[in-house]
Amino acid sequence: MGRKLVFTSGKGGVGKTTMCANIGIALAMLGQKVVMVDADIGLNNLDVVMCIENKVTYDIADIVEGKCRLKQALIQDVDYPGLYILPSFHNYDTAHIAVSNFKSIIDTLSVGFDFVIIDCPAGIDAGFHRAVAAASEAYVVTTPHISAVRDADKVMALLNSYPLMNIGLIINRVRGDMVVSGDMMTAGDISRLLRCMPTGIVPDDDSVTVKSDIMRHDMECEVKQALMILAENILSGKRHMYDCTNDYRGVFGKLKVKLKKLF
Amino acid sequence: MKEAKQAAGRLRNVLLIDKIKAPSGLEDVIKSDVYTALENYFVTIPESVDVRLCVDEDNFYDIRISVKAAAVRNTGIFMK
Repeated sequence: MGRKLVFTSGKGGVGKTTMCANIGIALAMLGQKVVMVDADIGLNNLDVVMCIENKVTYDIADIVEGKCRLKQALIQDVDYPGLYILPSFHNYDTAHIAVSNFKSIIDTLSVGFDFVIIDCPAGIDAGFHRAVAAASEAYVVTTPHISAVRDADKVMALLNSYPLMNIGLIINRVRGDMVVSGDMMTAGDISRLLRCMPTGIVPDDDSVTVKSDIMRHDMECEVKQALMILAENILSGKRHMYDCTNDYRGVFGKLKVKLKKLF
Repeated sequence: MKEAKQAAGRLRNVLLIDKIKAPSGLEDVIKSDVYTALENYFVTIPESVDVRLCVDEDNFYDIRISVKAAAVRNTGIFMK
């Protein structure tokens, strides 16, 4: 049986969908058979992040309504044959996608895949419950901002009431220059306040704005290294952390920090 | 103070406030019960009864009660 991971956050805009997409690609690069499921009904974006929006024929709602088989709705990635995407329903009408239906789809997928990655919608309402109830592990994505960490804390408290084997923390969009200059909370601060060791730390990088599915592109950037380390941590259970402040230490590092403030 | 330290301090307070899930009015109810119980033994000053609820960093509820009393009542309990 494959592992069923849900990426959630509470707060919107912290990078859940981008994280799902890139962790999915990274795990596929590591030889795993992965399916990514967009559980955000109505405000779905996994198809856009993975650049497959023009290839969507069937979605989750079609499976539930019996209009297609599960396999027909899966879209295979062009670069990684072991990577598939199950797109979400584009209209905000959740009534006919019951928790049991969604769970059944995820359980069926877990038989044929090493990883089922579920992109959870923002918030803590019915969509959250549907996504989390189908998973066996949860990763809470947050950024080093008070509102995001506050929501992550509430989500973690809620997740404790589900029978999850593991609840992990991913700290996204960390600005190494701002951490060094004391203008941004450290991953250690966040980890202590949430009382949870992070599974991964991902730096803020403009490359992701340019290419949201950054892992598949041939670009040298910090974020790719950090995402690969995170994927390896998820796969192996280890906790190697990417150091976002590495480039900003020492004489040249401090100069970089000062230059970043100027421009 | 550096922004990061300030943010961490604010966040700690926000998380503690969020964790206090006590219903509103609970402190007033406890005050009333404390006053009633202590009145059996002390001549308490009603306005001095103070109950504070907060959550510490280990997630335990920290209940602080303070009361002032003018005198001890002669209850006869401790007489042999």
